[in-house]
Amino acid sequence: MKTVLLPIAWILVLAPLSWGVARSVQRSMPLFTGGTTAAPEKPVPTGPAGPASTNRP
Amino acid sequence: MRPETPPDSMSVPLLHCLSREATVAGPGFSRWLVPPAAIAVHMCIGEVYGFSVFNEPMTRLIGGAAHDPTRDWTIPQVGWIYSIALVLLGLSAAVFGKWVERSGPRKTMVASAVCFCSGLVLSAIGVRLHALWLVYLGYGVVGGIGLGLGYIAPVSTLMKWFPDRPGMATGMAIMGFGGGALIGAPLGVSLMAHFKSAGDPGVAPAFLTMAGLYAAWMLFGAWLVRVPAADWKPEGWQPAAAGSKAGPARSVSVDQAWKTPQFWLLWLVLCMNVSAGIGVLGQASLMCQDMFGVGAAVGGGFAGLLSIFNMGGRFLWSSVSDLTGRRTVYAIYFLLGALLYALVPWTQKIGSRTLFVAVTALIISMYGGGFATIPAYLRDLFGTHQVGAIHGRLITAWSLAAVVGPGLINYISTAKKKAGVPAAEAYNGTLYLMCGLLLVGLVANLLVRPVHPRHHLQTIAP
Repeated sequence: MKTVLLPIAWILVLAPLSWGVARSVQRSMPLFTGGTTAAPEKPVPTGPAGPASTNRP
Repeated sequence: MRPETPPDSMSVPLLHCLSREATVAGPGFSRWLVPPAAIAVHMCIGEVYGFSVFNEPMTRLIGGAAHDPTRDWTIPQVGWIYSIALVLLGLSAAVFGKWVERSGPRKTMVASAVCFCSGLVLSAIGVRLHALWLVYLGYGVVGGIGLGLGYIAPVSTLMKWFPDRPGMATGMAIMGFGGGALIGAPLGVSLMAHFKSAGDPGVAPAFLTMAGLYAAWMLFGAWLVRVPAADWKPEGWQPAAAGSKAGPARSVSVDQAWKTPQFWLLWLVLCMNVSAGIGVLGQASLMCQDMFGVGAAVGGGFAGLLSIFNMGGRFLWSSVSDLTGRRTVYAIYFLLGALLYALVPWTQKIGSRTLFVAVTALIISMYGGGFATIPAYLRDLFGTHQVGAIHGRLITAWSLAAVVGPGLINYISTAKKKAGVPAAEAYNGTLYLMCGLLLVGLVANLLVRPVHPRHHLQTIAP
């Protein structure tokens, strides 16, 4: 039981993290494949915490 | 895997199995089971940073595909859910820190799971009834308390299991928190896409499903976690003399630590590190679009890439701190960080998107590293006795910076654009301000000295 639990525990946490990383890498692909040029001015978000908050502790 | 200590009272077996005594590991328990337990909890509560994916759908709960400005909630209104949760994270970590140390990691993780997941359930009800106050109460207040409890729950336990590598151990857990957004955001989007129907963006069923999934993972972590026996130490490891350069300090109680200059210097270190990091993270997508004239898809991809470096930096830099010492690694964060921030406007000037990505990715890795290294820094100064509770109080620095920082940065760049500064150059002032904040953090870090012996505990209660 103890021998099996160790790899299972790691798989259970690393699998979702790997899925999240893979999705993020997929999302970042346009950055490397030469994204299209857009209009220079963008609307500025006005939420109380600014734009989509990614300030992680 | 069964607890070694027999229950004191069979009449309350459930409560007993949550107690610190019941979680003392028996002989043969692998300490490498504790990091996945901590990561399981942290990657769930880290979902808070993916919460912004619900903001826009929550403004279409009544109007359906089109926002009804007379009855639907607005973006600023729903933005407060996240801010309330962050404030409660800091407050609950500070207030409940001593209880967390007394109760042990399992009871705290269960309490965190109950609060965080019931917060999601209350929010689902609030969305269904279109009662914003209930969402504030649910996700913001109740869920926010779950965040604070879950964040500090495994910190001191991990450092007791890994006295030889405390930076790496806490880095792993806090890496899980960084990864939480990488999971939470796409999961939320996928669930809403699955549940949406005509006139309903699917927010409430998405909340309920997430509550169930996260409860399962968090309770798995709570079941798995153990505390080491009092006399346990890693095989072949000899503790350095207490207070020596290589070992932890003599222990200081949380109430005493609060009164030392070292605590407030580290508070400033964390606050400056967070405020500066937000300079890039909070504006990542827009900054990339404005500085290089790329589209929203590329900007979004840039933000996603930074999230990976934010997560990876937590583990890598905190592990490095075990080799270099905490003070040195923070000096690297602040000095190298300030230099790199100053280079960002130059990358725009020469039009090198690759260099811009490389520089900002390194900045963000150190920003994540700052979060992950702080528990081990506290342990070096205040010992392991109440380090979780001390860490809880220090998190108020992040709570403040996370709410005030983005607002300040948003204000500066908006004001520059309104003043007619070209969008590509509107961030330069903010970036130089970030350099200044990092240098303030550097000075605070260099002023940190060992805690005076008069603050040390004479005897440590069991």
